[in-house]
Amino acid sequence: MRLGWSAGQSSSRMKWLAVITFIVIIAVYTYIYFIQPFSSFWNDLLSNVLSEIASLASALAATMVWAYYDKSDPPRRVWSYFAFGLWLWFAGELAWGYLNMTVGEVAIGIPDFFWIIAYFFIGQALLQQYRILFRPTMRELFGRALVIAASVFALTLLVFLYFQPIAESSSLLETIVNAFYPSADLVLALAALWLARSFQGGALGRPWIGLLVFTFSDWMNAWLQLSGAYAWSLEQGNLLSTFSDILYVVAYLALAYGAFSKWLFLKYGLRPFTETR
Amino acid sequence: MLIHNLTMKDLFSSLPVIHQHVSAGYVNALIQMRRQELFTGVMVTKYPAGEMLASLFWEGDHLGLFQCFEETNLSIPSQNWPLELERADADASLLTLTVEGLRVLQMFLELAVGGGEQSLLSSVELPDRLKKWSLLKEGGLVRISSSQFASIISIAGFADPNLECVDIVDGSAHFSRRNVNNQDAFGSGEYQVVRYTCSNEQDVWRENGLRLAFNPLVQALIARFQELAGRILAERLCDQLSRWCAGGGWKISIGSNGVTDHQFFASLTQAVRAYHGIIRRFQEESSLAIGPRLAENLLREVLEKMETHPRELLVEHLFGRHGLSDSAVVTGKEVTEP
Repeated sequence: MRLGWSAGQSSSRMKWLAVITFIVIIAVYTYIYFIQPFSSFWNDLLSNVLSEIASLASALAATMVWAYYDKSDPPRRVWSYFAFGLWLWFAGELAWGYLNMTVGEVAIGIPDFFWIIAYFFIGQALLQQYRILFRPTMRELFGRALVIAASVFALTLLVFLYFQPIAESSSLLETIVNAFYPSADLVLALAALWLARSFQGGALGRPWIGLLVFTFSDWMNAWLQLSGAYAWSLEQGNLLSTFSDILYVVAYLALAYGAFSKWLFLKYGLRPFTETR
Repeated sequence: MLIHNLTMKDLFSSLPVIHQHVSAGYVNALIQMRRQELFTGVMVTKYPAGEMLASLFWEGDHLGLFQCFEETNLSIPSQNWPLELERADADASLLTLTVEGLRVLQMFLELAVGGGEQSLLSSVELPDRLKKWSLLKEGGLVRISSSQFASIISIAGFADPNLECVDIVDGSAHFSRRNVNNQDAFGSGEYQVVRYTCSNEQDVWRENGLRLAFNPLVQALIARFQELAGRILAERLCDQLSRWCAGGGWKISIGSNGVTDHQFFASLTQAVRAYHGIIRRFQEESSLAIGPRLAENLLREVLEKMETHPRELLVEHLFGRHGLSDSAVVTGKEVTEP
């Protein structure tokens, strides 16, 4: 359908539409979280669905970016890994939501499998981006990948050693997996920060700002869960857990907005402002 | 076959005379006609005493007037044109050129001064000699004459294998780009060859060097931008740059294969201004996508990878002491950020 809008108008209107949609999602999620207007089942279901919609939005936006690139474009490699990683995160959210609705408390299991595997693909995406930016030799690239893997391993080990004595109720696997999340998030956050800085001021860097927001919130969430602060906050009924849960949805939407904004630039950017589409 | 030294006048002597024994007033009328018909090329006037004047035109602009002597050409200051053209009994000839051909001929008229290095070469020796000259750390202009044609060849030097040639055959000029490694670039026969060395002291030659260096620079910038941002954005960036050039009245278009430059610059300053503007515009547009930091790094990276001589020329003229950002040459800025 042709609306006769200029590239600038189309881009701006779609951006605003996305922002308004995301604000509505956050508002509804917060409303359900605080007011709990429905029965427990419906409140949980709607909260889970909204989280999954946020996750789905990020995976969809990343896939749109991937699809917009030509097969010969080097950034397509970045976005194939990135989009796949986000689809795995969505699969993890979906599995977690299903288990939450059917069994209640979700133990370490299938959702974590998806989430952990996703880190590998997102890490691959960041390595591909590094490769495009700096054109390293295979040896240098391999060296960087090794450093990243070793950093995640070392951080996981440190976190595990720190929390293992106090995480009495958790199994060994549970503690290791829970130690992995903040460690991997921290490494991802640093990589995202570096990428956001490299692309500073450019539209193509927006997804990396989204990733930075996401990894920060996920890191906070994982840390609260691991340290027991989340459970304590729930018991006390204070805002810490609420803030963390809402931020988790916001982070997915920030990621989605970053990728969507990049897609908009790919579609409408560097055109004469008045060109109609 | 060749029995005398080549003179400057010989180059135009084969051109058919279109107006014989005309007055100074008529010559001036012919110049006006060239202006009106937006002529690009050379109008040659020969006089009974043996004098020869060559008027250079680009799209009707009367760019220069040269007096051709036996061994040299003399550029006549514009204030003396009326006086110099005030000669009776002229035979007038025309040589229509493309802008590329005009550039070569302008360089020849301005730079081929003083006795060049003359030699008689066979069709086997000529390519080897051209190759040898192209490897020197100085550029030059080569004039070739055979029984069939006359050629002016611009050799950039510094191992640049590309030759820009204007062949004058049967009274008309043909511009071509040849590769020095192509042994069959010239036909069989024997050639009388004169080589004139050119140096960066001369603005016309610097402008030529700058133009030759600018193309690979832009080509590499676009290629690198494409790697970072993808083909579609790279194509749009090229389109934006081409539109910007057209808006500024320059006949320059940018594509993924580099620059198609049909613009004739009357001075080095004008060329610098245009090329500088294009690079500035590239940075502004690419910054919208990849950010100013990456855009700056991209430019630096591409420059570093260029050959020393073109890089030095680009740095000297486009980036200079003050860097690219200091020169306020960009006009007609148009927002393309959606």
